[in-house]
Amino acid sequence: MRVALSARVELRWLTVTRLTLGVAALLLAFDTRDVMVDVARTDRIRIPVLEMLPTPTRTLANVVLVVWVLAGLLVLIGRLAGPVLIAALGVFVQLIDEQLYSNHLTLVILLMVFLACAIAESDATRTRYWPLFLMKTQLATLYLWTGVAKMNSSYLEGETIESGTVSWLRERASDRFFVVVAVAILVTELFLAVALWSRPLRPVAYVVGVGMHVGIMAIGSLPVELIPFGLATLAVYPLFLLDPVFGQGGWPTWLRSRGPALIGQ
Amino acid sequence: MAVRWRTVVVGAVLMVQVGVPAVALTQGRNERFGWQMFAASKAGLWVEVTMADGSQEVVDSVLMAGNYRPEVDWEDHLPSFVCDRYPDAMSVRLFRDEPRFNETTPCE
Repeated sequence: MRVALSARVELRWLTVTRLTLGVAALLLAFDTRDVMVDVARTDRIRIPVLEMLPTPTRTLANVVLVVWVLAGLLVLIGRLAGPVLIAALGVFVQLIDEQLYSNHLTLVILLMVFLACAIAESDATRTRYWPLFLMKTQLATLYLWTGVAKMNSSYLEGETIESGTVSWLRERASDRFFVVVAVAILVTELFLAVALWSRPLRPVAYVVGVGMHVGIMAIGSLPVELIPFGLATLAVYPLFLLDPVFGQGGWPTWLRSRGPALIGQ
Repeated sequence: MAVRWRTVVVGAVLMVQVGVPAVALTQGRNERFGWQMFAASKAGLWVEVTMADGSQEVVDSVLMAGNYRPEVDWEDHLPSFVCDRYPDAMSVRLFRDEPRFNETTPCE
């Protein structure tokens, strides 16, 4: 554990994760702005989490959008202020009104915090491994708990999956189809929680994980929400190739010579 | 950051990552920070408003929300909102089938 906490990895191997997270955050900014505008409607209920914060208005939603987009661009160019700002904006939005809570936004906030730690701990070429380790445990625990939460009759009967599917598929597919999809997603999530850590299982995990998220983005009725979430989860996948305790694992032979270099202490 | 502090931070975060969703799972359906995405369906509440003249109006609560999140305890928040919105309201009844709920709140 001490080795993992002290290890350094080459900063360039965080690039794919950072860029994918940046794109996810930029897409989420527009969805969040739209939801804030809906919550701000004067004929709708307001449920503030922190009374001291301003009530949602269209103007506030637009200001949040502008700052968020600028922060997203800072993430793309690797500036520390980017993930810090997005995490702060995400927390601010969620504290304005209970209706602005979102699991997808929560995941992006957490990953941005860990990304900020990775950037803060970096020098010109390297960063510490521990924030990347926490990104990995965040994704694995998310898969684990979302899988466990789905172990109930309502989910296993396919109802929730059916209600979250695009209408053209809902009208054509049978009830049995949604039961199969529901079970497949549950099994895949539990498998991913473990398999992403396993060198021999990782290639299979990558294929089924990417397949599951792309499939959900394709058939989900709310792609505006699901695409940023899918990107945020997939952003963490490359980091599972980094293992400072047991060495690099899971690289195909042709990539091995170009894999992430672990510099140790 | 010193190794000792890194150990404390990583240990604390790991406990939160494992513990918070575990606690959320014991609290019921669709709790915040539980990662219970699409895990359970919860039908929206219907709102029945009884006016001072005895007339009644039934409204889908989704139409009263800016964003009808399943994590929100609508049962707690809707009665006062509906009473404010309908000045002539005498009482508000919230009901749904799954999970079953039926409760009437007088407007003051």
